[in-house]
Amino acid sequence: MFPLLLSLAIEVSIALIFGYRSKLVLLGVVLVNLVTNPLLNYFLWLNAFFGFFTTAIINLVLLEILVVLVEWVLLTLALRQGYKSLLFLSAVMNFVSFITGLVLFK
Amino acid sequence: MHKIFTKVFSLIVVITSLVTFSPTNLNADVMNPDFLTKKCAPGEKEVVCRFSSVKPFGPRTTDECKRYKNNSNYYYLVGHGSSFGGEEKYCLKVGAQGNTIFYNNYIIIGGVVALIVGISLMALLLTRKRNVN
Repeated sequence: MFPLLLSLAIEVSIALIFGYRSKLVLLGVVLVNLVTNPLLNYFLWLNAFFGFFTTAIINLVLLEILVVLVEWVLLTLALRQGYKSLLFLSAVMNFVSFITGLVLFK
Repeated sequence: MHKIFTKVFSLIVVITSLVTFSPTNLNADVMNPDFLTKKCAPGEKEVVCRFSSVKPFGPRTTDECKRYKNNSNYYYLVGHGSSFGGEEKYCLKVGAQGNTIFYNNYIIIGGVVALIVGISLMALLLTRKRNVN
């Protein structure tokens, strides 16, 4: 639960910093996170038990890239805004969230 | 003859003393050949973990293996190392998941996650519709 709340706080803040003030956009960011974050954490939790792959940084980075792409597609579909700016937003939001997670949960 | 023996004996004593009382730490860096050859049984997942120690033969300061050692679903296969650390191999037992509480839990948690994801996707679709209007 804490990773989800942290991720939501960081990503909504980044969206606000990038000038996305519309309630619909911020709601979109929250909903997109509610799709990707539980799935990612559930997958990592399963991995800790079943050991599908090692939790080497490169694997985590690849998973994060996948999250960026999924969030980008969902944001583009839901918000119908410029896909380039939404890709940039998704990349920055997830990069900051990823680095914070690495520092806090190392 | 007697002098040569005395010199050789003295030399052996000096070398032995140097090795024995040397302050440098010894590394037993001989690779355990079993570490390369031993494999888990077919169908079992193999994991390799590392551990290290600051002091030679001292307590482990970093230990990736702890989580496998404490998990009854894994068993120790083989290990090798030096005085400052090493590596161990563990195997995840086939079907071990079925005997744990986790087995029942991960399906329930998976269901909750699927529900959250589903509701969020539906809400996103509604957002999309609202965005058109």
